[in-house]
Amino acid sequence: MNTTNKVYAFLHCILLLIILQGCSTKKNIVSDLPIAGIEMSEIIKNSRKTDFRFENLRNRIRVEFDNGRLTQNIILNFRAVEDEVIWMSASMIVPIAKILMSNERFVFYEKFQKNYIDEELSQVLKLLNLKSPVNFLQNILFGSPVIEINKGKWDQIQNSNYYVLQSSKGIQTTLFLNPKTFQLEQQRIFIPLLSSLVTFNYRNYKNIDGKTVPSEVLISYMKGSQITKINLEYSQFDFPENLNFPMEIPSDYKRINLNEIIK
Amino acid sequence: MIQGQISIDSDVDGIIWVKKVKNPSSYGVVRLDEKQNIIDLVEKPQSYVSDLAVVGIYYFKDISIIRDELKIHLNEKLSPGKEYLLNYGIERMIKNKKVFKSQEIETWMDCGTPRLLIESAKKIMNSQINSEENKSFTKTGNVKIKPPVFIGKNVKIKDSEIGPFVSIGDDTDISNSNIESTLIYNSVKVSNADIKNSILGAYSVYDGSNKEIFLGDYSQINDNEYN
Repeated sequence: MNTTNKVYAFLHCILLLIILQGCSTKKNIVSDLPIAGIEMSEIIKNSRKTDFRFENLRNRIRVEFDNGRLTQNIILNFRAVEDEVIWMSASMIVPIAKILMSNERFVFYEKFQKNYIDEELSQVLKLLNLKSPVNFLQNILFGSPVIEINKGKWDQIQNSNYYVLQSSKGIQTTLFLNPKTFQLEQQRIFIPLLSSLVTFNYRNYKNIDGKTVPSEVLISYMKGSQITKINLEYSQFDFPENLNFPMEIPSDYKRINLNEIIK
Repeated sequence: MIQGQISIDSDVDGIIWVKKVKNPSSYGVVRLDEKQNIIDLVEKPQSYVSDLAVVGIYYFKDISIIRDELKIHLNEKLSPGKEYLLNYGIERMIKNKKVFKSQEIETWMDCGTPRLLIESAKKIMNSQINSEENKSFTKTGNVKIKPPVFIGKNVKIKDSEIGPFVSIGDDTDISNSNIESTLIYNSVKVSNADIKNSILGAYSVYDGSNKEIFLGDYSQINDNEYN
């Protein structure tokens, strides 16, 4: 694999997280299996209690990218102000890339080809019908539905192990909720941009400072006949009072745009 | 990575180690007065103020002073893209008449990108490799070593040409490969590779063809299976 392809693979991984749009519960309805005839409003009410909320978040994420031919490991330093900013710095032996994303702007650079992106997000957001890319990415990363569950239109699908809700409007999403905890175990999202169904499996929920979050997320999607899997393993969650988001694009880097990567 | 003499002058409040550079606009630099005291720290100056780039090593005689100065800085909320800087505290100390001197180091090697890491390693190999140290690996078949090459402990090499400028970590196996200007960390398996200007992280596995590659720790690639 040449350097370009490697970078492409990395970008693809990061981009996927970005273009897509928590978890503890006090149980009102406790059952290991779905209760027949349960009201949708009960499911929604209990699921909302699992939302992962924070002010500032710092984390270290081990990312394993596997497309069947290449298995690549990357360490991401992750920082976020809830619903406002997400910052990531990626390392493979040495730092290789940085991302800074707000709801209006996306900045990225990588050290292999010395490329950078600095773009307003308005067009992409329109294309994806997204209001807050930061909230979208947070939800994906930490086990919340990408459509706010109490605002979406849902159809309930019978399933012997989970409460399954499928969106009937907006982003095509299917949620698989644990009947005992109402935590999101899986969400499937159809991404028109990739013509692909992307599945997110949330594993090993842990309680950290009274907040319950998955400690592992397995993302998988198929493009053509190729299956790509991305495993995210979280460690060292902390909620500092102050965070900074350094982003300075080196002077000799070449500007590219998001469309070039999506292609 | 730096090389040079470091001496502490206990009469000053702080020392900042620097290196003369050709392109100061890419670095943070120190500005000196006629007594050679530091009077200013300038981050990536657009016009020339000094060519003494800060290499990232500092001495503070009383660490509590810089700590207190930085506490003020850390209470500020920064906008995205900005970062907390040590310079902030040092500049406040200089304003408060604390004396900072600079001290120049001999060698400064930037390892901040994969390519720079390889280039820095090449410089070290050029000057510091003792070829006698490389004789203990297990050799099978036709193996050619072109110095400078560093070979760690318990390395097995079979039917391969290694070098110049290759560093191989401990417990690594290489077979049927040509490798040049490459850093290979510990416990790596390389086969059927023809690579240069590459980095293979610890416990990585590469079975590949003609490539420049960069694999993180525990990564794997099998090019040949798909060719």
